[in-house]
Parts: sequence; structure tokens; C-alpha cells
Amino acid sequence: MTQALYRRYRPQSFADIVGQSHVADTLRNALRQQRIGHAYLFTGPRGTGKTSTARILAKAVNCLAADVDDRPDNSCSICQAINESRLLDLIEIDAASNTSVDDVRELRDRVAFVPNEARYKVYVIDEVHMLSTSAFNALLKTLEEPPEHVIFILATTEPHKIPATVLSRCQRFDFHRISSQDIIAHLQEIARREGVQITPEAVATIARSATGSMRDALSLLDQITSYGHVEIDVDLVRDVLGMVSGEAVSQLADALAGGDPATVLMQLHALIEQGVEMTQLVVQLIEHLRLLLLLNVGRDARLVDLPASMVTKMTTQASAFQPAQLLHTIRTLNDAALALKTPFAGYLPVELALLDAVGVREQPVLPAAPVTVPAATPVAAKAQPQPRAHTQSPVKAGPQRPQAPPATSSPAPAGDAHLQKLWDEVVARAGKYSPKTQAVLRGGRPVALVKDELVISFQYSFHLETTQSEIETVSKVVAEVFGRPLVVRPMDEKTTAQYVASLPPEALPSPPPSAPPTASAEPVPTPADDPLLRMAVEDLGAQVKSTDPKQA
Amino acid sequence: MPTDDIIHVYGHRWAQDLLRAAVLARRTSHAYLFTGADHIGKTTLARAFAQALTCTSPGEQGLGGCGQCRSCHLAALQAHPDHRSIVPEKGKIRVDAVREIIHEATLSPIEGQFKVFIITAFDRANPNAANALLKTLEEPSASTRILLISSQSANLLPTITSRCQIVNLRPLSTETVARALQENWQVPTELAQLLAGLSRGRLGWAVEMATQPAAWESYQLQFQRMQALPRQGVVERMTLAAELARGDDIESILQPWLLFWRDVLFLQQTGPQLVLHRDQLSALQDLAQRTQPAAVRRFLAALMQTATYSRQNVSLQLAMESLLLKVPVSS
Repeated sequence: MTQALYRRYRPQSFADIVGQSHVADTLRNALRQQRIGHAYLFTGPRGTGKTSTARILAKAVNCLAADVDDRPDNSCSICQAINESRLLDLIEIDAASNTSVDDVRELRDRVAFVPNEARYKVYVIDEVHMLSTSAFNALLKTLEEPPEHVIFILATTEPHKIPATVLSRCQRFDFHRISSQDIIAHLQEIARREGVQITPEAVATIARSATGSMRDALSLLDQITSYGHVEIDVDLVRDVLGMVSGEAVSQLADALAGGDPATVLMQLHALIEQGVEMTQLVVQLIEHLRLLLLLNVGRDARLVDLPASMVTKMTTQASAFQPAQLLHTIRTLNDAALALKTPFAGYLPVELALLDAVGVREQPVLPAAPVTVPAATPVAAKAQPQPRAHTQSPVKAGPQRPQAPPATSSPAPAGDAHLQKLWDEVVARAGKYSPKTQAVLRGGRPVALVKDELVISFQYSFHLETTQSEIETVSKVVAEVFGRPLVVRPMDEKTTAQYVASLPPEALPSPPPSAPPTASAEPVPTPADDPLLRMAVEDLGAQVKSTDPKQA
Repeated sequence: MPTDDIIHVYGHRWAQDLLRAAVLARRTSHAYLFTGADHIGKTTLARAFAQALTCTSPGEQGLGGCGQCRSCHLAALQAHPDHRSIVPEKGKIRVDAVREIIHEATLSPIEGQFKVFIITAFDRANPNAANALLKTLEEPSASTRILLISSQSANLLPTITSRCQIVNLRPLSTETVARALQENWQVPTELAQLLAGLSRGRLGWAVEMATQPAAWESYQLQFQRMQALPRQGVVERMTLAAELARGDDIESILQPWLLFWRDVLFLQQTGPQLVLHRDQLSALQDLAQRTQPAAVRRFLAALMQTATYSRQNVSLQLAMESLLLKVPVSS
């Protein structure tokens, strides 16, 4: 009967323990100096070697080898008995299934008896965090002053659940996550001993997905070896994990940079049809975008740990994005990864996140926005794709969020459509000169055109500053679109608000004659002014007749 | 269905190959965790694997069960004495049930080589129950095989998952689902295509729709209800909310709605290529033109939030009322 790899290759001596030298060295020194504690607490994440170290320590204190440095020698009768788990003096207790105070009382009664054959009776209490409070308390006295011949080793993944009174009676050892390099080396060693051919890239992929747990890594290796392939390559590993190739992720990023929602989603669906694991895909995409962000912001290839050939390609790709856009996409995808757990939603959260990342676009064929629904919402959403409609609780996501554009700087009402259209044209044309400028201009919103002055408001200072530094290009494009040279004045939202307030009312764009009748009869207040009003209009289908309390 | 007693699994080729290879090479692991969305085929795969494990002459087909021997026959009838199936009682897996497993896992198999435990919806195990299983899951007796199943594997303790070989099932391709529906459930091509798309790769769901007329009718009813909602007033919405809250299967309500508005949003933002409800294209297109994308997105977020609420302790009627008030208004 074959055993799982992680059981077969459990470390058997201190030298075998991977990545926990701080623990192994300390314990070895304690042995050498005959300063063995009576109670130890091993804590750390899963698969880092707690149970294994406990068994090794049990062997070492009882080993019959003459030289202390050789202990455990794994050849004396005691070591062998432990390796075959038949030593009466090593008592392993599963605290998770023996949680009650009665179990501890029984243990306490037996502690008094001297060992059968070994020097010490070693109690290994695994998953000790599951003991009940009274069980812990019943253990306290024994743990503080056990008989000479008893050693307690408590092991747990959740040290915060252990009472302080227990903690203070134990020597505590914290096991760390094992580094990828250590896992890779260990996996390669085991593959060699098992006679399994495995490519370095495959090993690295396994190690990365194990996130510091040796048991996870070995389970995965075990699973993949059971395919029975002659050589394990990275494709096989990806197949089992449901990962996609770096190439596919890169293409998806290209599509995101391209800005066409249909292309992005078609690619996503192609990947889904291939049977990709959604969470993995999101993680991979986020990782890729993170690298692009590092290249984009740092402009230094040393920041990323990639082969030179990849760096060139990724730098090119990075330049197609704006840092703000990358940040926004990463955040949105992060939210989507969490939202994937939503029941019945399937991979909808990812679809929505990618749509959001590309930017909300309206179809040009749409009829004019209905009277009661302010043009403000779609325009604002287009200008600064905010994740507000996404994955948040309805209470927060509702339009009553205080962050909704403040009244003064709210996009001008429907009458502004003409200016907005011209501005869209500016943004579109700017792409010819520099995709970077185009991207920052997308973050801008035309506020007013007064005589020869075009005021553009920016929500993010990054967009504002970049536009200011590119003002020549922007002016050129604006002149092209508007048919005359204009002074372009980029502003942040606060300045805009002050500016707008200082303008005489007739300077603001007036509603075009084609505006809907109710709007022209009396200036209907933008529902954005009042969150309650906005909810009434957008969600309940109300119509704004008047906001004057006297009239109501 | 095939005439022999092989438990058939569609798709998930890689998982089938993996498990069969392990069976044939006699190197199956002591614990497996089958994860993936609901109705994706986890339990079927686990049952087929259990059949292969206890089969007396495993072969190259499917997961390895021969479908001829007495063992396979019993497994197909779900009457194998060495197969133990554990399902949540009243929505929970309790520590007593786990203690029973721990005890039984120490006993020898009755018929063959292995005793196989299939534990469904293990995410429903409370912390005590999950922790109680840890040691058994790590080093059970040589003749024990534990197969855990969970659609919410993120809710499992990391100490549980790291002790198992994880078989994470992904959605099947639309084509696989459509083909399976046509071949084995004799679904007409057009309907098969439609259901395959709507199932989003979950064959179990598509089969349920295809074989239980009531389920498919209910789906269409919810679709039509949602179609009418954007034009309806508060009173009608409240009445509907009260009615819906009385039913207990919230999934059969929310899922059609999620896909409905997803399609509307996709029509607004990417065009018709990726729309799932192909049969309702014109109606959806009409709505797409009459609603605001931002409002649709907000509603989708609200739908997902309600789906999350439905798994928590909330008043269903309040949740429904609040949801229906948010249905985007059509002009």
C-alpha cells in the first residue's frame, strides 16, 4: 500500500526539517546542553513541520545513541519504535476529537506513571487549540510542574486560541512559512528519489501554488505524479490547477489596454470554455497587472523578477496603461475574487469586473437619455469608471453615497451634451498623438466653455498633472475639434466648484433647444443634488416636478 | 444511459484521467477533496471514483470501474456496504456524525479492499466537527479512503484542505454540456444549446432543467416576471416580493434574474455576441435601450448581495422587497 508523499517523506531527523532552522538549531542546542523543557508549544501555518518536529524531538530525547549530536539516530530500538508508531511512551493525542475535560483528566491520571521503556514519556497534543476552556484549565497544574519523566509538546495552527496561562507555561516555537526556494529544492529531491522526471518550471509552479506549506506542495506533486506521465511539465500542472498560460494572461491584458469591452469578454469566454479555474485566472491576471504597474511606475526592470525577453515585452505593454487605470483594475479584480464566493453568481463577478475595468461605455445607438434619468450618471461613470455599482452592499452601493459628485461640481445637466460630445471627440483624437494623453483625458470632464476658455475638471490629481504637462498636445487637439484655438484650463474638482460658482449663470452652457419639454419649462434640479431624490428617480421611477417645498 | 453499471461522468477529462491512473497504479491517496460550483458534477465524480476504488477488476474506461462486477453493481445501486455517504443533517454536519466516521474508519472493509466515505457539503461541518476529523484525515488506516465534497471550499479549514488531494472541478465547456444533453437525455439541439449556455458549464443544472419540466417552467416564469418588473409600480413589486418570499428556493429566483440582467448589460456594452438567452434577444434588446447601464450594474450588485444574504440569517421578505424596489426603471 502506497502512502501519501507527505507521510512517506516526513522528516526523520533535525537535519531533514526544511526551512525551520531557527527551531531545529535551538532544539538541538537544548539537547546538547541537557536543557530540555518540560512543555513546548509549536505554532505555525499548516504544513510547516510542527507534528514532524514533535516526533523528532520525542525521538531525540529518548534516543539511545551515545553521542548527543547523533540523536535521533533512527536506528536504535526506540527511534525505530517511534518511526513505526508503536512506542508506548510516545502518546499522540488528537485534541480536536478529545476536547473535553474528562479526556484531560484521564491524561492527567496517567502522567504519574513512569515510562515503559524510554527515558521520557512524551505527550504530543496536536490541534491543541480545540481543547475546551475547562480542559485547558484542568491541564494547567500538570503543565506547570509535570513529573520529571514527562515532556509535553503542544501543536497548533491557531496560537491565539490558547489561553495565556497555557502559553506562559510552554517554550514557544513559531514555525514559519517555507520559502519557495526551499520547497523547490525539497520537491526536486523527492522527485529524484521517487524517480519522477519534472521540469524546473513545473516544480516552481507547484511551489508557488503551495504558498509556503510543504504538505500542500507534496500533495500536489503526489496528485500529478499519479497521472503516470513519464515527464511532468508545466502544462500538466496547469491542467490540474486550472491555470492558464502566461501567454493567455498577457493577451487578456492587451485586450484590457485596447479598451474594447467586447474583445475582453470574448477572450474571457474563450478561456472559460477551455476550463480555466476562475479564481486562478483572477490571481494570475492581478499578478500580471501588478508587474505592469511596477514597470509603469518604477520604470526599472530590476523591480520585477523576470527574464530579459519578458521585460521588453511587458514594458511595451505597461506603457499602454496608465498607473491609475492599472490600480483601478487590480482593485476591481480583487473585489471580484472575493465576490466569486457569492452563491449562484458563477463567474459573473469577473465578467462585471472586466467590463468595469475597460470602462463603462454606452452604445451610441441609444436614444437620448430619458427626462427623469439624469445624463449625469452615465457621463460621470464613463469619465471616471468607479467601482461603486460593484460588489458592495446595496446600502453602500446605493446612490445615496456621500461621495457622489458634490452638487457644485456635478456634471452639467443634459444641456451639456453638445460640449460632452465635442470633448469625447477630443479624447478620441488625442489617441493619435499619444495613448497616454488619451488615457488621462478620459479622466477629465468638460465643465464650461466661456468665450475662448475651455474648463476641464479632473477628479484625480494624477490626471490633472499629466494633462498640464501635456497641455500643448491637448490644445492642439482641442483646436482641431472646436475649429478654433482655445485656452484649455485643467482644474481639480475643488477649483472647478469655485470657478463655476464665480461664473455668471448665463456663462454656463444652456440647454439646447432639443432638450425635453419638462427640462426647458423650468430648470429641473439634477437629482444628483439630493441622494434621496436621486434614488426616487433612478430606482423608483419618480419624476421631478418641483423641488420647492412651498409648491409641494 | 449506458446499459452497464458504470457511473458515468461527462467532461472533467483531466480529473477522470488523474483518478483512473491512480486507481490502476494502486496509488490512490487516503483523502480527496472535490470542489467546484454547485451542480458541476462533484458528487457524480466522487461516486464514480468510489466505484472504481472498490471494483474488483478496474479497467481503462471512465474512472476505472468495470461496471460488471458485483462491487460495481452494488455501487451503482448505492448499496455497497463499504461505501458510506454522509450528508448534512438539518443543514449541518455535526461532531457526532464525524465521530461515527472516525470510529468506522478504524474498522476493516466488509467486501473489498477499501472503505470509502463520501462526505457531501463538508463546508457545512461546524468547526468542532471539522477539527475532529483532522487526525483521521491526515493518517487514516490503510484501507480507508475519505472523499470530501464542497462547493464552498473557501469556507473549509486550511488544515483540512492541506490534508487532501484537491480535485477542483471547473465549469464544462458549453459544447460538452450541449452534447451530453443531446446524447444522453435526448434533448432537442436548440434547447440543448440554450440550456448549455445558461448552465454556465454546470451539467447537473442543465440536466435538471431538461428532465424536470417544472424546473424549466419555473425558470421561464421568473424570467417573465423580471421582464415585466421594470414597468411595474411599487404596489405590484411589493405584492410580488411577498409572494416570492414565501417560496423557499431562492436560487431558482435569483439565478434567472442574474442572467437576465447580465444579458441586458452585455447588450448595452458589448453587443449581442455573448448573450445567453438567445431565444429572448429582441425583448432583451428592447430593455437594453430603455435602461441605463449604471442602473443595471447597481441592480446586478444588489442581486449578488441578496444571494449572499440568502445564505445568512435575514428576513427573506425584507430582502426581496428591498431588491425589487431597486429593479431598474425602463423609460
